[in-house]
Amino acid sequence: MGPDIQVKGLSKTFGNNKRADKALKNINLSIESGEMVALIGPSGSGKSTLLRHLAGLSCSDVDSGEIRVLGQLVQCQGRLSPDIRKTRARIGYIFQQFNLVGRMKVITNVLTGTLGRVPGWRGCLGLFNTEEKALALKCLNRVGMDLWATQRASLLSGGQQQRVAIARTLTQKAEVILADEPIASLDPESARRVMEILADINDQDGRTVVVTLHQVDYAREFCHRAVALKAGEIVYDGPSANLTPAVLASIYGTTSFDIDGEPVKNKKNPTPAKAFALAATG
Amino acid sequence: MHSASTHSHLPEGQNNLLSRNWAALLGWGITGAVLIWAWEGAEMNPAALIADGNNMAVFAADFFPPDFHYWPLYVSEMVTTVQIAIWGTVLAVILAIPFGIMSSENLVPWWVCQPVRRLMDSFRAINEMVFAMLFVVAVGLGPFAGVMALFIHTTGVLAKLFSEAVEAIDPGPVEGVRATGASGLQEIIYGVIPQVLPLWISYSLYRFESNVRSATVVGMVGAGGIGVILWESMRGFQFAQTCAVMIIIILVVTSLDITSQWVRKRFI
Repeated sequence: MGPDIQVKGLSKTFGNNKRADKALKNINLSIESGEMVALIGPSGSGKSTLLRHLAGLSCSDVDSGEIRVLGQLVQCQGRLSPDIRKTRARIGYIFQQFNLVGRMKVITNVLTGTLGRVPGWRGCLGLFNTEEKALALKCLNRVGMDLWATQRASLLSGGQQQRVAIARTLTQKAEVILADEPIASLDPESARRVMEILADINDQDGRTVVVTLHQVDYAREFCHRAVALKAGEIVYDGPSANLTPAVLASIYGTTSFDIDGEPVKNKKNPTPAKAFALAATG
Repeated sequence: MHSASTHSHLPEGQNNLLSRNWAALLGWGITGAVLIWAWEGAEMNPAALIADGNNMAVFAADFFPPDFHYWPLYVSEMVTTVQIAIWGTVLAVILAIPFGIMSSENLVPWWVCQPVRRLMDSFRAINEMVFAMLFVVAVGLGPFAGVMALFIHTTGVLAKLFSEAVEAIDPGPVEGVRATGASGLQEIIYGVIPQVLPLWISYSLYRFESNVRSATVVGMVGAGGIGVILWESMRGFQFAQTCAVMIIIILVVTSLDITSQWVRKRFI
């Protein structure tokens, strides 16, 4: 069996404008099973866009190659695989804005992780069995959120919501976890906790984890491998330990790094991916 | 820029003020013209209210005191009226859910959305009274014709309101559910419905209130409820009875409005 994630010749242009700058330019990437990889790069470099394509939440340009995850085809030449939902069930996705359903209880949010494998009618009616509920509680316990199980998700803080979102992917029994800026909206303490949980899932359960990060120091601390994007192209792929200030300056196009090697953030770019949230209904 | 040269003695901001005044004046001019045009078409004649004031006073006096002699009949017909409104609304809510989702641009492709929307437009375009007359012919005189009339019209209204709520949702949670490998239907059940439920409940209750009001008139064309009595008493010049019926309608509609407002508050 090949690598867990394989991307061949992925290109993406937003909008119909052929002359527009490509968000992703002919990306080739291969990630082996059990790796923990940081995707870094300045705002608008395409790292979130790349991650969305891996889970089939966005469609590539028609002249792109194919994306395979766990050996299953995700998309090829801009078309989602007909089996995309089966593949998505094996991919855990963690969002910057958590994407929990605020009016539902925490436990129900976590139980949606089972939707990919329980019979359709049971999922639709919300008839989860004791075994599934026990699993959901166990996963909530692992992220330290089991005491909040019956609360509405919207009542939790950002860090708590993100931990519930991780419990959702644990309940999903996802073999690959893609985390899109999981800590960008969190306070430092919650951010560290979330990164520690992700590292633990990688370490203890042997799950492949790909995480996009703004903070280079987190990438160096938690991920062995770093892939850097700049203007839609991979400009660095190697050990995160080798991210020297000189390398970082070439990635971020700036010399202003603080002592931890963290780039001084400029104005926050809105991610273009958001506008296409519902475009890829699969 | 050219206006800056003609009024070069004025600062930039005041130039803007001057030109905007002309646009506003034009706007008022058009509004006035439309009002005058419509006045003639509608044969507006407020003078008649004063000239025929005596007639109206005599007419109004006929309404009082209200004649509650047949009140058990009025009350039982009013109950039927509310029953018509209940079923007309419930059936409409049940159908408006799929139709509302099928006319939401963000969930279905245009070739589903557009035809369903046009169908809902046509449900909505025809007034309940017209549907009532048609159903009286189709299913015979009686409350069931009223239920069907309210049902069709309300389905059109609620489907539109429901779809507007769906189009305003946050796509994030839907994507969160999608990422677990859920089916399209499950995305709607877990990602969409929880977000729109408070608005849907609120709209449904509001439509129930309007349907109680509408149900009081569909009886005039024979589709059951208190409208029959209202119509008969007016045609028989029994204005004291008409007044009694109207008082009962006002009491029931008001108390239902208050109740449904109370229910709505508990859901939002």
